[in-house]
Amino acid sequence: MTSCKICQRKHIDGSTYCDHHHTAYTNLEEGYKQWRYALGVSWVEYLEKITKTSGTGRWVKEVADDILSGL
Amino acid sequence: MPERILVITEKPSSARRIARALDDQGKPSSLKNGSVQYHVSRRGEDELIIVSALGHLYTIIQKGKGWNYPVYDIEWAPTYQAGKSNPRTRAHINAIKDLSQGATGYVSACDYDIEGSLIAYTILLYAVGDHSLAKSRRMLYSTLTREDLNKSWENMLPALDYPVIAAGKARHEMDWLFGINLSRALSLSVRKASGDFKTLSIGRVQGPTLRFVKEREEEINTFVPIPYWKINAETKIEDKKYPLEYEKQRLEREVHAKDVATACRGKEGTIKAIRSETETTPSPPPFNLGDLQREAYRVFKMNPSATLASAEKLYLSAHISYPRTSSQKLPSSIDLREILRKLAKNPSYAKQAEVLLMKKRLIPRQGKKDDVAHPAIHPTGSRPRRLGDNEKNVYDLVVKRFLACLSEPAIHEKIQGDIDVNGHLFYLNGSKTLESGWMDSYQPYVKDKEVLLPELKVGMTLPITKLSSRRNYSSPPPRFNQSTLLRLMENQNIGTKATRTNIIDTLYRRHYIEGNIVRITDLGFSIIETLERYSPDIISVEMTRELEQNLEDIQSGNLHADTVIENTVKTLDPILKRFKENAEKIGSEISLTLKDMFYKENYLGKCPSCGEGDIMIQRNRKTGKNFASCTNTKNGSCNQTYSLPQKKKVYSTGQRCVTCSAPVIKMYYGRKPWSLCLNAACPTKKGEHK
Repeated sequence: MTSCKICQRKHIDGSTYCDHHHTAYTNLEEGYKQWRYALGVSWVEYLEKITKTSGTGRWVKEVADDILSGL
Repeated sequence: MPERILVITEKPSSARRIARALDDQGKPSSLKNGSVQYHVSRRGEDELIIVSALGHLYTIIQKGKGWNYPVYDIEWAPTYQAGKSNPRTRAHINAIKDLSQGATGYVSACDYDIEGSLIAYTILLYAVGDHSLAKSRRMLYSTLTREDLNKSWENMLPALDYPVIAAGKARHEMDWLFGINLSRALSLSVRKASGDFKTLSIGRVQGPTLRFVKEREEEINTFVPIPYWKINAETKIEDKKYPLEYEKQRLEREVHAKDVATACRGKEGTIKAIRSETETTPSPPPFNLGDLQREAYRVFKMNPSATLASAEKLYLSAHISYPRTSSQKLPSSIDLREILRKLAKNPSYAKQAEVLLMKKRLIPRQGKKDDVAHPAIHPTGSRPRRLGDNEKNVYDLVVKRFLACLSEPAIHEKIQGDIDVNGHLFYLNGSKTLESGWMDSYQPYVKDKEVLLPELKVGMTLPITKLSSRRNYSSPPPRFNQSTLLRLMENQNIGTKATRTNIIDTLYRRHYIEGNIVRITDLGFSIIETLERYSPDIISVEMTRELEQNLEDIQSGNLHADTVIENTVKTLDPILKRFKENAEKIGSEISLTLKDMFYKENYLGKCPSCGEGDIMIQRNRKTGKNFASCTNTKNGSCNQTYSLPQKKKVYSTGQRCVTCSAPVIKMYYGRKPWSLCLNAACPTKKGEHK
């Protein structure tokens, strides 16, 4: 499979996502550190909250939805 | 010996004004050569023939034929030969040729900037002949007032401003070489990959500008908001409520916010210290073009191109000085007192002007930026009679900014009380205007946020009447608007004050960006992404900035124009070679987006007849009329077609008619939308046909 799990773009080496969604995933991971410190939430709670927060980037929401759908 | 001098201006309106100003009696004769009006002024013994261009009458064309790339062999030709739209340019060239007969001298009286200098030069060289150049002089002026124009005539440059002309010519040639070659490369790559032809363009400044928008969109799309908490508190003194500011603007943990709220809610605070200091806010400098465009966007939401157009109209009617300036300075050569005397006759500005006229010395606040050709934008003092809404707004802004820059600084007393609430520190902030200074002149465009506090004493106790902690989230970077995009271009030193607005307009025209809050379209995104991959130099800010520097060096005499054009070709050639090697890949990636766009624009809904095909907007190649049909009509498995309104753009609503299942479309009458079923034979329309 050569395309991103979410869109039709080519995935980057070592990731199942394209460059856009991979950057979104990296930011999502980084953001979790701050969310956990701020609210003490679990990874799943974080993903659920982030998809409903205004200001969350479109590609970040898509990655969060993708992770949640695979759980 | 009496002379017959041919004076060339940039526009017909400036020709009239210059003719009136230079004529001894102020009554020049207005005559016609064919359809072109010109003016004859008498000045002493001399006869001045004043005729206008229509902006550029000459432009660059490719030598030879063919629509391919690379093209480096170019020449200057009349704009009508280049297929440019204005057919009147031929009449102006012919009139200037006729009127130049018997002339003993020539004067370039076009706007004093690169374009103006180049317009007159190309006319003198190509329409009149190169013999005219040795006898040509240059008028320099910043306003079209009688005084300025006469002063300018008496102090003319004895020759044309050749370094400026060389820089202008090089800029046009460089932009043509980049623009035509890259745009052809893009369009041909799409044709090579898909067989379809679509005009696509990208230029030396367009590319990096579009890249800024794309990068911002990526930042927004990958943004993760981070929560933080703010403490909002309030106290009451003598029955009046005052907000209190917590010592930390943001708390990073919810538990900390709750702790503060629990500790302070319903408690009393004690004033531990009171500080006061005087704050001086200097008056703002006068406008340069970028400042004026940003301020007009801030206060009137006017687009930069609309602001420029209004400012140019005001300049051509001699109400303000030349607007395409970088300067934020008013030099001592400008008679500020005389301008104020004239403004004092206008009831709208009389009060402030008279206050300023009472000052012994008028010292304007000067900004940092300068322009060798023109001062900052300022009013001439002439009183406008009838102005459109936009011009009225821009004029008011320019006059009030001028008055403000001559006014005294504003002085405020800032007071801050430290309030201890159960071990937590809050601030009570107040501000009192001691001197409103320039803020009076700049009303209603500046607001004085005065917060008057009652008398405070150390040890005084204050009740905490309200306290809450509120969760907020960090925000993604904002999308650009035209004003912030313009500022970024300025800060990055790409384009010029004269070209930046046009570049943004071109990005809109090409459908690369859309909306007042600028969003990149799929097409714009795809073009930049593809170029980043296969031809990154085209969209490199560094390369564009370096080329701008070369052009500035030509103007200052440090670099020869021919060298810059040679270097442009040297830079462009490998870029185009690499582009050609990857043309098919570039074309196929962009054409995928184009197909997707075409589909989105023309899709009206599922076919109600066969249930499989899509109803798409089509164009009859013979009649040029629009209609809608099922995609399966091509293979003959369906014959569903609909006629469409021809004069209105049709949009999909994504809905089906509840009665006949045909797609429901939407059209706009002005701003009013109107939805209707596509099927002319739909039973719901029976009443309409009766």
